[in-house]
Amino acid sequence: MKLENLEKKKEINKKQRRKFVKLWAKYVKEHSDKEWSKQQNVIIDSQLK
Amino acid sequence: MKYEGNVLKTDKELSLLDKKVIEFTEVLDDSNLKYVLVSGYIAILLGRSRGTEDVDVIIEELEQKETEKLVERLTEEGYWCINSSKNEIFDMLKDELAVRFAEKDKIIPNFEVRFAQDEFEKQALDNKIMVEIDSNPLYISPLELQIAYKLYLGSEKDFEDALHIYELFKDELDMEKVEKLCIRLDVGVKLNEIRES
Repeated sequence: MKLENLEKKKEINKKQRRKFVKLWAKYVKEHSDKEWSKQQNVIIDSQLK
Repeated sequence: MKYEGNVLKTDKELSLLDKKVIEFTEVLDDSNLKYVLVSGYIAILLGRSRGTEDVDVIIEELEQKETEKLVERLTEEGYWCINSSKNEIFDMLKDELAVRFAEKDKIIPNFEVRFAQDEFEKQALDNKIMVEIDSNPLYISPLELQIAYKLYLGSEKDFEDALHIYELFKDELDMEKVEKLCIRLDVGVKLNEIRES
């Protein structure tokens, strides 16, 4: 694969990740703290158990 | 989450990380130390969907005796310094380096502690926000400063942290302050990127 193509992929991935960050922030804003934190804690707690 | 004035209230379910942060900061509170949490943990506390191995803590500058007292207290509470021997901690802090404390026999998560040295760290300490979480107070950096500082740090992870905080609180943030801080830190272009994301 050409480096140029990899760069393109990287850029697309970056944009998609940012889109997800916005989507999740919207979810956090529109749902109760209990609802989003339950989901978030799965990620955080799995790292520390 | 409710953010009004300098108080942010949340009734989120505590993660293991939140519990460890509350335990650690209780030692600082009991020692009557001024502290403020900065950087990645703030984004996580406010809902960002990622973990971390360290929590950045800025404390007021202490004299050698006070530092030794704090280290003793942390040791009594079951923490150890993972990147310095006890007698070098003060010198490291004085040299603007961070010292990392973790629970005994553990490396992660750890608390990266440093003295407030530059104007931004002092600003964070002086204008901190109180977060009420599970009846505990936690002190975090002003969100406007946090966004600008994260953009200044420059990695994609930092950008995403800034984006999360911005999206969450864009109606409550002092945008003039955000802009001024971003200009001061030469990250005005990055702020525009956030707005265009």
